[in-house]
Amino acid sequence: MKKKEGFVEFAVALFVIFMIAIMIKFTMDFREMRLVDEYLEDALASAVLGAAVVDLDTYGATRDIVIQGYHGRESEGADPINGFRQSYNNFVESFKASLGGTPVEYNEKPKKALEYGRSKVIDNITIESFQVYNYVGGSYRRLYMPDDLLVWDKIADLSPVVTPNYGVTHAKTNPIVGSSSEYLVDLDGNAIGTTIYVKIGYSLALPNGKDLGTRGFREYKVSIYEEVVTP
Amino acid sequence: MKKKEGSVDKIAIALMTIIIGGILTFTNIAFTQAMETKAQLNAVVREYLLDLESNGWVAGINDNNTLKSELEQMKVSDKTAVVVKYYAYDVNTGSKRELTSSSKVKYGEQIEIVVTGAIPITQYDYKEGQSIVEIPFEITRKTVAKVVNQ
Repeated sequence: MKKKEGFVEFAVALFVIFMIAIMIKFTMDFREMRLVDEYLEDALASAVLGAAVVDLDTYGATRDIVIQGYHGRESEGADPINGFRQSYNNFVESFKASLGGTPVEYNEKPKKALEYGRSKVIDNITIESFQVYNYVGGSYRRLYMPDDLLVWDKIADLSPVVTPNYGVTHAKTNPIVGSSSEYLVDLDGNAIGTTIYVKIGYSLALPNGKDLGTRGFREYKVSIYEEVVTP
Repeated sequence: MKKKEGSVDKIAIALMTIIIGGILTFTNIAFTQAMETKAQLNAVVREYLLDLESNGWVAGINDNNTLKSELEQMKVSDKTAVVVKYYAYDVNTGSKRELTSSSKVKYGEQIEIVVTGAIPITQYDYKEGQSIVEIPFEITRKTVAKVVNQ
């Protein structure tokens, strides 16, 4: 059977248009994913900065820079858990708001709370690690949530973990143990001050919502220290 | 009625391909530019907020025009104004209030900045001198005030 005249040209035209459309879709998807990724990083930075609020009472009394709510030394009846709770709450609320989340419920569980997002590209955001290192009296006191206790209700069950030899040291002679993300010393081995470290995880998907089956992770750390001004 | 064999005009097909391809390419360029602009807007807001962080947000709340004028110099819409608003949250009651240049902020209070506006997609309207199609944007950032201004 003889083909109709112009069939080949028509097919070629359709193919060209189809290819252009595919290329456009690919570039747009790629750009949107990059944009959302940057947006996530900015939101994380704002949230961690929001969590890093210094306790002025403690600073005024002892010159120790600790996270708000720490309320002095443990030996004097301090409640570091309260500070941790406050700091964590600031982080969650800031992060949710910056990602376009819904109004915050104070006792909302973090995993559920952070499922809201501005885009389908990044979804199912979870807090993998949230650690507060209060630098008091020459050593760090770490407060953290283990992965299996990543639930708001159970934070109160945790005890403060004093970790002078766990990944944290300000003495040059002691080796540093732990992952690089947990280093709390500078290159000279000096302590870098009270620090908040956060690691989040998220699922990656195409803009049409198709899950890519992979999870990304992002870390952010804010250290607070007293700036010494030499006259 | 019987169709004529070979009635498809090769020139028409070529023209159609060029026109559709051109429209798609133009749309792609326009949207790409809009996304680039949005990324730049995000970057400006990020830098601004990091500056505010070092002085506790007070300067930003008291001066509502710096960020706005900085954003307006970018490729944003002339038709839809850039609006920068600050809010403060009371954690205990959950209430939210808008901050003005005379507002007082407490230490440790949650502060939210919301930037809204639009990015033009199409070329400018030759009559009005304004964009025809726009993509609205909203950038929200929330953090905590570090310095008291009361």
